[in-house]
Amino acid sequence: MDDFQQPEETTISPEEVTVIVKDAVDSVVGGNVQYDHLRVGQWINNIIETSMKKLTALNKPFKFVVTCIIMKKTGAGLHTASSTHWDITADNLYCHKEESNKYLYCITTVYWTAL
Amino acid sequence: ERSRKRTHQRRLCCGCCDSDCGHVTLRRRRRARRRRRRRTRRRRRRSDLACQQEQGRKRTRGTRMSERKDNIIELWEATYRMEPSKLERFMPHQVNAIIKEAMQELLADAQWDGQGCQQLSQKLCRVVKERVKQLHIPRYKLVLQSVIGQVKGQGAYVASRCLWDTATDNYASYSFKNQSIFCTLMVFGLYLE
Repeated sequence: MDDFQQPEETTISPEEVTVIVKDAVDSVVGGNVQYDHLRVGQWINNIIETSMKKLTALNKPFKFVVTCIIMKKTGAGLHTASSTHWDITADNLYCHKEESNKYLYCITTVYWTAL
Repeated sequence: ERSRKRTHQRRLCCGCCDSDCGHVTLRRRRRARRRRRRRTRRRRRRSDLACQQEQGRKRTRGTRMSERKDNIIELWEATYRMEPSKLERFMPHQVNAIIKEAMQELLADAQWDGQGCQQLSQKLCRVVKERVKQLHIPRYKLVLQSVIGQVKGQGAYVASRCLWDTATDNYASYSFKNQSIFCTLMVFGLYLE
């Protein structure tokens, strides 16, 4: 009779997403891969596709937006900012910065909003 | 007429007994109760109508105008709407125009500065968010992301992928570049069911 959903089924914690995004990024640009302008499109595709598949495998009622920025390290600066208009109790975001690679910056952000 | 009324009152109530059994008072009480209920129903209908005219929606049962005090709990009637109407959607062309205007205002003469561009990217996000909110698109959640970088001849790639309902959700983005900085702003509109 009790059909109420448990809080674990209707929320996503940033820790779960951390693991997913970290794996996806490390598998593509981890390990000091040099910046290659011809291949960067494919890398980004791979990172985003892998993260999306794992996020949908969580099977939770959420919409996802994943953005990824890859830039070559030349001493130039880079800033990203985010602003949202949503329900703070149900929606959240996670931003992952790749620091181990010394040739490129990779910033991956995942936003999830409740249905 | 008065005499007629009296005879009515004196009539037998349910036919259970032959004589005047005193059940007459019960009937009178029932009638009075019915009259009171009709009065309160009329009063409620009038206040419902007033509420509807004032606020443009029906009030659900259980919330009286007279009972509302400082802690108002608004109960909204279900709209039974499955998707947004055609005019109340996230329109990418409108939002693109807003982003373009905001960027040209804030970034036309901007020079790269480590601290300054951090504030600038946050300000840009805030300004565009307020302007998109003024479009008053109901039941849409907004997610904005801005990227500002210094121009030094390097390559950069910004991409996004979304898992949403393609019929109701959409995005708008615009890129700007001048001598010393490049900027990309993406606005995602997600429908809340």
